[in-house]
Amino acid sequence: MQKQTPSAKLAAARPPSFPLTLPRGSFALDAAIDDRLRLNSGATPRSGSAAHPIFGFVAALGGSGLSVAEILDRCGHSIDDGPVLAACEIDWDRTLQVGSVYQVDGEVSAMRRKPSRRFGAADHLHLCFTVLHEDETFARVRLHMIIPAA
Amino acid sequence: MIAWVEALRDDNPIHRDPATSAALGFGPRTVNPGPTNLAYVLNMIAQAFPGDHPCRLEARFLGNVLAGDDVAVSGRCIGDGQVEARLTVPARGETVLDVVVTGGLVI
Repeated sequence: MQKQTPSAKLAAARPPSFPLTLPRGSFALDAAIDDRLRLNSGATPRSGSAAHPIFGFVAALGGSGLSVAEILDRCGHSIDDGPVLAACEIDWDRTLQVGSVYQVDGEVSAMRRKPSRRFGAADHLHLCFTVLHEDETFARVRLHMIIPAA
Repeated sequence: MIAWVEALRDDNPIHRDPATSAALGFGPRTVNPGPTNLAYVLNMIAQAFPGDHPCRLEARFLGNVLAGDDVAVSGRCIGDGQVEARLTVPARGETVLDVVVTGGLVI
């Protein structure tokens, strides 16, 4: 049986309303983390200062004002439920650069419960993030996560 | 996987603990984070189109890559600067990720 945090219990008793705006966060994209994730995904070494494009996603989630666990907690779930990613969209407006600190705005747009062949029932969570630097948008990310609800 | 979950601040135990992964029905191995699988596809596109940068990506996660899996990436140009790509686990004959990437971002 999963342990529920006090705030998750409260959220379960009083369902959150959506959209749920997340506090602004930040992500420091330095050369070391770009090198590390390139190495761990078999990418070619960086040329110049352009970061690997996956940092559109990594900065959004890693720099969110709330971690994945905290977002799920606000939605009445636990990270221990084993959420999975169902879909995502990324729009890059500019190339992310190493040596920059990005701001991240985010929102939980919606959460809908649907029947699930695998879990019996599952909550479908829709999130969107904007990655900015000095008020210029660098990336916009939309995620669809599925969380067992039975 | 640890480098990825640290960067993503993702404490999902399916990425760290094989026992939890098994208990949740994923089998006795940890599950690769979804963005890592996306990176494999973006790597293939970067090698095919050096110097180009993606401006849009749409992805559907259809299955999981598990610790120790070998994966294969394939893709084809479908016009308008778009590549349709697929990540598979050949040993299971399973497609785990479908992606459409649009290139042409001006830095």
